[in-house]
Amino acid sequence: MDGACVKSCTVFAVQADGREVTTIEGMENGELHPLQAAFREEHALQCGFCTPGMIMAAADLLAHESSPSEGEIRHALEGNYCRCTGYHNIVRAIQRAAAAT
Amino acid sequence: MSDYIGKSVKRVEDYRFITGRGTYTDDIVLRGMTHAWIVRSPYAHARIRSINTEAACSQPGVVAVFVGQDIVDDGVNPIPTGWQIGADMKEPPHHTLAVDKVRHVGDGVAVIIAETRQAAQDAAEHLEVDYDPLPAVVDMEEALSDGASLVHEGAPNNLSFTWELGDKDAAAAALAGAHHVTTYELVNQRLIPNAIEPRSAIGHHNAATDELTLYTSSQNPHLIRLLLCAFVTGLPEHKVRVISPDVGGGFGSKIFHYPEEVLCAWAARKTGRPVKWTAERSESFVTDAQGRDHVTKARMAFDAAGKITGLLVETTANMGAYLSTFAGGIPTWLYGTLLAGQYTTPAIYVRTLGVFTNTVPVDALRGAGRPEATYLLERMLDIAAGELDRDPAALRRANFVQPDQFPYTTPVVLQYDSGDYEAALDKALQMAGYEDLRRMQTEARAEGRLVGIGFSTYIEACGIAPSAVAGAIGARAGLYDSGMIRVHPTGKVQVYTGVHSHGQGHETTFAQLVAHHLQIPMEDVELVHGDTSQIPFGMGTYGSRSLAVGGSAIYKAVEKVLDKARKIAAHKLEAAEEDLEYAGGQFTVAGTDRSVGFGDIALTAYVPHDYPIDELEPGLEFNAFYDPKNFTFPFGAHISVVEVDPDTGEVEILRYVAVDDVGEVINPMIVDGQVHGGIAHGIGQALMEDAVYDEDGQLLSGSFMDYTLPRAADLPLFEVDRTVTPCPHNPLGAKGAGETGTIAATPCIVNAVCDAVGARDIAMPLTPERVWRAIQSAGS
Repeated sequence: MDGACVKSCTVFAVQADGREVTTIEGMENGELHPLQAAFREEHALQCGFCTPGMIMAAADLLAHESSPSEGEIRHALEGNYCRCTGYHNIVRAIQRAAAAT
Repeated sequence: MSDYIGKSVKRVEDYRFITGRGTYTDDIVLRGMTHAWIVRSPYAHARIRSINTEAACSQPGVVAVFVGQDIVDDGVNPIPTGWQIGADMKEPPHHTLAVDKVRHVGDGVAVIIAETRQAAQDAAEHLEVDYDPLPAVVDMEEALSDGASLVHEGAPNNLSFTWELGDKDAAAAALAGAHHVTTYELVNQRLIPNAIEPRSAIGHHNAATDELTLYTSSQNPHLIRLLLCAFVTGLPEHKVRVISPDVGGGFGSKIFHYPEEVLCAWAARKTGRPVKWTAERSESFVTDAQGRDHVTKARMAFDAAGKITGLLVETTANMGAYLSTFAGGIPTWLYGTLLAGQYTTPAIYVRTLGVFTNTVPVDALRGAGRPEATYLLERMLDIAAGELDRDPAALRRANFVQPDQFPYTTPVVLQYDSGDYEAALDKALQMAGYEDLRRMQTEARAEGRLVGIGFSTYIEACGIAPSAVAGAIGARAGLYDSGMIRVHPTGKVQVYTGVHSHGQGHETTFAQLVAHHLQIPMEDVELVHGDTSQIPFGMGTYGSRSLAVGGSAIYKAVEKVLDKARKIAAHKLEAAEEDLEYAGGQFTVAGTDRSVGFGDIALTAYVPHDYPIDELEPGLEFNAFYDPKNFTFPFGAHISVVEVDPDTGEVEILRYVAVDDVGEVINPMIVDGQVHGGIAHGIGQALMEDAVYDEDGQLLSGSFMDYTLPRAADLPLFEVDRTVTPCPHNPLGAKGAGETGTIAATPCIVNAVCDAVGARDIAMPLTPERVWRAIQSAGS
């Protein structure tokens, strides 16, 4: 929201009034966002339920740090759970997207 | 062009998930849909004196309010369990909503159906339930004692069943004559599954056709339909359609037939409106069937050479308040039968008591019985190695079943199909650089650092089968699966499977399988799953069965398609069938350039102008059912290296090496992903996860603030590899990969931490406090 990473469940609709909101649906701009492409390339999703949150959290990280370390990536994901992947391939995907941008 | 097997093809299902287009049950919006809010018990055990629904009924937006008795009076039966453990098993009724008593915190007592979820939730504040609280039984030992409060009046001493397997006298004799006996008492703590998608269901009754559709976040839509129709509601099966759309993880917790599914289906007919229910996260904590929860005493006998000569195990397994769908089968047939592990133990005896308590029901959770068996064995091997002053890898090696012993029959009734346990261990040792690791550990210790190395060499049993055996051990179901191939006139193919994908990537793997054998582009193949009105009857996905059982059914259907295609090709080419070769999607008359492609054959099958119509029906579509000859037995060797902070007891995982043998692999990328996730789940149990109830039966760890799931920063990158020992009894050679990591990782990590701090044992989860205390005891 206005460039800051927020969780939809902790923001009231009225707080978003007049603000610019980007969701996973807005990431694809004619072609896949590098993070979306990297998540597919690195098999960083299984059931897909946490994927929008992971990609948006990663986008927020990469907006602030273009080449994060593995530790920085893992720390940046502290607000997002994944029960399927063990995070291994999510970390790889974010590294891949960082290298591609 | 169509060589797909063994290739890490990128997943075809990913596009919808990475662009926010996945459709999970809660995403579905139906015209006129209402919303259910379930009023749940705040007490673990209480008699319901009365429920006053009047005020709630008159709240704005409320469509209907129902209590348990309304549903019973309408002829709805209790939800049955699907696994009979012995003729005397106590199977008390599990009603859709509680009728006389509530038996765990979260037990449903009433449902409010309203125009919006918020209206239903607000109206719930006006529902008056008069409870008469009763003493709760939480601890299993207390539950079994005389005079304990009874969860169910029909189950004296709160005992559901007693089950035993193996030769008790032989195990006792081995212990009596042993050179060394290792004893171990352990608690395999209760876990909460926490699939990231909360459970959800929608009931929709079409009055015009009298068809009921139930959308549900389930791992097995046909099983849900069967239980719902044949046992619970009596609705005709052909008028009920169950759809499991995209499902956000299951891990076992979405196998079971839950009250909310019955409720939405029943209330949709009753109200004439679609009814949706979606769990809040806090409801998931108190309504999703939980996992593990064993208290076990075991003794393992060794001879002077370090060979295991006997094992005697007594386990008390918590069933919670009701018997969930597979509950009885988990701590018995899926646990006791695994107690040989990779070892040649000649005498094994196991006894399990299934006990009711005033807690959330317990059932299969990723691994389901096999992690509990593996934890017991692999911890005991490490403890014994310490007691016998043997290297833990060497002690395991001395006891392995050898490659020339397969098929190997254990003293606990399984017949292992194939394996090479030393090969997996050798590979893991090599990857880990074991000798260097031990040297590094010695150097670290000299500097005062606590570094430990842990092992786990495990066996798994997947794809419970054949159906006759499943029946003999009490499963009230067949355990075959189905696959159907529909070739369209243009040569495009749809594949219909009875198994269900909720993260496993079936849409990719099964398309690879079919495209490979039909030798057509993968883009021409689509998988259909999860809708009982489309797919043939199938048993769904759990126990790592999808590829070994469901994939084998699909393979059988492919063979039927190719067989008929060959006949059509022979006709078109005016050649004998045996003279045809099939390669690159073309049937060619051997030694000539005369050929016909798969697409032409498909078209001919549906436009049979030039066709052997007297001998062959038109069309190109086949169904197949596959009932396996045996379980499959994946295995592997995992090694972990941890460092413990001596001041805080915090555990850091420095390395995690996994070598798994899941038989033949179709998509290595997907299998690696399954292993990664499984390891994370196993580490979660070892270090973090714990369902804690207080003595009144309140779940203290009922939120993500209190129940610790592994986060990204808790885990390392995993080093995974494979050996390949094909399954000899299914056509794919596949064994199953969904649970190996979970089974192996828990003891692997605990072994490493115990090694690091010099403790014989630390109770799971190994929180910093517990590890710190262990350091203090070891040092004193």
